[in-house]
Amino acid sequence: MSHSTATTIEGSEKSEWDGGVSPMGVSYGKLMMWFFLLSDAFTFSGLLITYGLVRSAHHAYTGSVADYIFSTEYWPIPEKVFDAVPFLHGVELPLVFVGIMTFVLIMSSVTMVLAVEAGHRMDRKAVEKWMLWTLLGGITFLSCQAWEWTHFIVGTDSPTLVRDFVKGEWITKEVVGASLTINQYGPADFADFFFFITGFHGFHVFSGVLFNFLIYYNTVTGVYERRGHYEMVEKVGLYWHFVDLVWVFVFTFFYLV
Amino acid sequence: MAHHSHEPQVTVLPPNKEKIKKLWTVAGILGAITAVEFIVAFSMPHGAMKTSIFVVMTIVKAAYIVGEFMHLRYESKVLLW
Repeated sequence: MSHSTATTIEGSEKSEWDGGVSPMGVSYGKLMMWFFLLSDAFTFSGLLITYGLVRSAHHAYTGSVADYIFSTEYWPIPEKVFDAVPFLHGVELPLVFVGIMTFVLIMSSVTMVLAVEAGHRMDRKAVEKWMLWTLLGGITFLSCQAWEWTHFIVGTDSPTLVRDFVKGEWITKEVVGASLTINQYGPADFADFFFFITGFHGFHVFSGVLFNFLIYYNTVTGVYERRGHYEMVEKVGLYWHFVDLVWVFVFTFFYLV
Repeated sequence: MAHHSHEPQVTVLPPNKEKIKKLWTVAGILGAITAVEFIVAFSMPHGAMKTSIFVVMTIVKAAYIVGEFMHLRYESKVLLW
């Protein structure tokens, strides 16, 4: 077909029925990115809806938050599980760390859209600058998540008594930390959802960082400048904002509710 | 590609101040809603009311991200439907 990606559809000499007109008013690449993001949104919705269903199938904790203790009898209160912050051992700071992570991801979304804006103006230096900030945000978020996972798996200082079905009989044992089969915070499903939902999202962030690096590399080497437009920044930008969008939902349904 | 002497002439336009200001405003709104979520999280008892508030605020945030950051508000309406 044409030797370069068409950004505009004006001036196309093809007739409407030969694909000369884009009905959505966006380029092929951007439209396909929207389709992909829509399908990805279904996957994440599936995960979050399942989380809601399984959670509602378990007992909810009804006592006061102050008296809360971990137990497999009911679904844990997220703010009691995620209350640790690096370098502040033993200090209870509920949801503070995950709040910082949310802030980091929103900021990197802002720097991404600023890179897109700079791309529209063909300002290579500005695109480089904002892509670097975006990369920094993504890597910071991933590092935070690595710490959070480590803390979740290693566990707290005091163990929880957990009933477990071993070799055909129920036993009670002390458990610290979490795995896919047993954890100290609550029902096994809770840790499973933690690993799957935040893991799947984290994998998206990881891929996003790789894409962002590719964009940064191509910007620095002048690929987009020679091409005459920075549409790739826009397309990867859409993906990056979507990752932020998903986190907004994960933050609400997994950590706040 | 091989003709390094023929680098394309690129016209760099000045920053669109208005647009950039708007983007930072959206960032501020997102930050503010998250801050309010935090306040609600620790000042209200668990229940359907609290969950509804969170859901509404999440949808508002999502609308800002999709509409402004992902630029959907300014694309052709057909794309939105």
